[in-house]
Amino acid sequence: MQRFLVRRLIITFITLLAVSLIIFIMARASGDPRTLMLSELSTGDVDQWEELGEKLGLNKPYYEQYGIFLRDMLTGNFGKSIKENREAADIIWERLVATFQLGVAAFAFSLIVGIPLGILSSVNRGGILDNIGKVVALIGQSAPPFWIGIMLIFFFAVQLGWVPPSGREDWKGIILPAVTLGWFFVAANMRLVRSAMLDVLDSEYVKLARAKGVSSKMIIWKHALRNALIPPLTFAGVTMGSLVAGSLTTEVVFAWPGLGRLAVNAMLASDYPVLQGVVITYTVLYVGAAFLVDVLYAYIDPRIRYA
Amino acid sequence: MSGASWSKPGLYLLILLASLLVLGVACGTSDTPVPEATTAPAATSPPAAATTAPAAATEAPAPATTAPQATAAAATATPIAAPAATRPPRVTTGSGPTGTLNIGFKEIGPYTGHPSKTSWPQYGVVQLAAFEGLFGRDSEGTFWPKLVESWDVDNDQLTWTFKLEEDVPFHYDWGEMTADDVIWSIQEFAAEGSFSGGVAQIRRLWLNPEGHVKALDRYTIEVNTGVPGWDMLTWINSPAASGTWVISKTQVEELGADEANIQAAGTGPWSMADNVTDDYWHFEALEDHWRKPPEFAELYFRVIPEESTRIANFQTGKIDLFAASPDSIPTLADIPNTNFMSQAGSSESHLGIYGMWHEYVGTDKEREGWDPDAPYISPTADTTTEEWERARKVRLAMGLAIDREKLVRELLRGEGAPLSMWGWASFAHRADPDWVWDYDPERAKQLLAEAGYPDGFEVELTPSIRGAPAEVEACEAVADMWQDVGINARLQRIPFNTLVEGQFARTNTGITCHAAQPLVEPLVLYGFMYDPIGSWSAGNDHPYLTERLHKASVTFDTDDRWELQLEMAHWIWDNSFDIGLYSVNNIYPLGPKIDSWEEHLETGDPRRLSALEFAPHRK
Repeated sequence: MQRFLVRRLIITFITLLAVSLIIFIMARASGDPRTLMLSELSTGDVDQWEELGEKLGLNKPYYEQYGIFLRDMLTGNFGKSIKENREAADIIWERLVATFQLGVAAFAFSLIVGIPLGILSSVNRGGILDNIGKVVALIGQSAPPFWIGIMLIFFFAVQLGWVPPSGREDWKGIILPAVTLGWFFVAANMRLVRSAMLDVLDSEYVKLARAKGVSSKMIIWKHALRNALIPPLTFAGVTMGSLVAGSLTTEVVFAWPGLGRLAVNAMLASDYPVLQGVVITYTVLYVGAAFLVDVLYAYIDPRIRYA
Repeated sequence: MSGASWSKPGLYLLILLASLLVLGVACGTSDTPVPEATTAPAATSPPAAATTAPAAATEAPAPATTAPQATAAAATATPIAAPAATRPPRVTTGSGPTGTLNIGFKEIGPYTGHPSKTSWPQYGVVQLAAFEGLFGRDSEGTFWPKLVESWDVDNDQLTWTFKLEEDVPFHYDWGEMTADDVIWSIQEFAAEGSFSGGVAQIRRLWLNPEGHVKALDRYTIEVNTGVPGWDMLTWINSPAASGTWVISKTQVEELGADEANIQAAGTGPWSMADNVTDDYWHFEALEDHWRKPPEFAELYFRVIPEESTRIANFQTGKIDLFAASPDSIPTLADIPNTNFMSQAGSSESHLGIYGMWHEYVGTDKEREGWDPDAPYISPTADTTTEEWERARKVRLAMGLAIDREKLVRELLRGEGAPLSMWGWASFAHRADPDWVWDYDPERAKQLLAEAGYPDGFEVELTPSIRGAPAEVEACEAVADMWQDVGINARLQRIPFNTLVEGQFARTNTGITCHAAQPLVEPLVLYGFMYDPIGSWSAGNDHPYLTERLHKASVTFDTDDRWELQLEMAHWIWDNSFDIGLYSVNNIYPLGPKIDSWEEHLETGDPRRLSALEFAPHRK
């Protein structure tokens, strides 16, 4: 187990290093921030370009800029935001709170709706509830989040007036973005639970329980569900990482001031420190979640051999 | 974990608790309220409104009457000062500011106010509420005095005298505005490493080693520009794309630049209350503002990136207005109690022809993007050659193949006007009425054939994506129209920051669809688009233009300067050197709480709203 953990940690470190290099190159390939800061009216004075380059560290050779980025990254610092003139790490942290709220709410929604729907689908195989579940899964996994978001806004905010269309000031403001973001995973959870439940309900020990006269309710909720929950629960780790990292579109549609919008704005403004910081944060979250899942796998299921 | 804990009620209770926790946490926000200035100097009590705001009639400075010795210069040499508009009279509502005005924006950036530390996009937005410049520009484009009471320029065309308004308090009790604050603020816009758009111009006019700037007394500033600066007022008005505003020097000295940057004490009708980047900026009205107390007590700028979400917020009354896309107008018109406010000529679009840098051809400064193989670019700058004529015909064909009326009708929903000569939409009275390209695809085909391209050619067409109405759609429409005459335009969509880098470096080739705001004179536009020594480029330059451009930029006499501008414009037209498309109106839907204040809108940065202090409650 110890050897496995060390190996996993090394792979995680290499992944972070690779991502840092890729994002460093891609950020610079997208353009120079000075071109956006100086507007077209900054005419007739090329010195301003050099002055800003000096101030922002853009005149340094790329290898030196990368070295500074790596050094900053290892100390938990991503440098100063070019656009906001504040520490990028502080900005990312502020936004991470908003994104995390949204991610957790969407995660909870995906479990609260996905698991019961999967159970009901499996026990009503071929029935109305099963078909409803299939439709929910189909929409959740095929409709783009921006479309779902806009439709939800139209019905629940504009037509019914139950919730605000966007923003984070009112607690109700989290409902629509959480549903939009979590719907995909509702579908995933539902399908996983349904499939696992069908397997379990068809197993010998369930048949034995039925033969012994155990009630259907007891069989479903106590015996079958416990075993059927293992796949969605292991999937949950990855889900959480994806929810946090995948909130970009939802945050734009719902004007949610989270990490996704920060990433988009940093990209459009070529704010290298923030963009690099956000991508590294996403990577850490995702890789961290995957690492935890791997560890849990090894812990829960000794049959899995990692050596 | 025991088996019992996995029973249905237990599991659901756990999930329910987690959900409640999440929703509970979601109620909070990470607001970063502007702290009170704890180290504020002894505050000068805000003076009584009645004594600080004399009637407009007495405020309106007329250089000819306030400074007789400068009459000749002022009358003939300061066209931008002579027809000065008067400041709108100070009108207060009986009950003082009430209610909340919510405005939706696509993007406004983080709230900052320090002159050298504020970059785009917040640079354009912070001027709308909390800050004021020395001058404003009314809806006709005429400068009017804002923080100055009167001004004057000497016969030498170098020495400007600005008499400031007295008793203008800074926000958060940072004292009263003085000449020192003004000089420091404006010069700080040109400090080393400044993000300001007007660094070069401020350095030329306010930091010129051959001139000087000094405070003659607490409220009077003398600026000797060293070189004639006809465009002085262009760079000291606000709101404007290159606007300069005044903040408290004392505050920056006591709090430090970084701290003052996020809570800068300005003089505007609203002061910042709190803000969350990419969420909202919240301002509070100054009930006794020295110039114009707002009618609304609170003002929110709400960041809503998506147009459809902005519409939903408007429909539900969460925002009272926003700059609407032409496509949204029919939807918005169907919403009950919606009025519209229009801002004519908010931007002018053209096709930038890249790779046409003739200035340094054959020298060691030749541009990387110099592209003489393109059908529309002559390999020589000599306008009498056959090659030049051939390329000119191609450019003319490209201009004639565009149905501008259709672009305006279909894409802008009529909220604009066809424009063949870029930069002249606001100067119709001076423009040549013949500067009109009627849609004529047959003639375009004939010209292409004459130029040796009967089957057309291929070209790369890139929209400059900066948020102007229908900018991408118009570019697509141009590509379709060109297809009809055989020009195969490959549409390329790239982020603006990727495109603009090549504009600075002069490495771009092909054509761009680009919108710019109308400026005080076409010369300013030409200065940053066609000047080979400028940092930005519209893609083309020519020695003929360069010579007149540099001459005009130091020509103080209005008539002489306009003569040079007309010479340049005629040359541009005769050589089809640039291809205009259309001018666009900004359209703002107004919700049931608010009425139009169209007559007060300022010209400075027409991409933005302005004069929000005049926004009235709906009667």
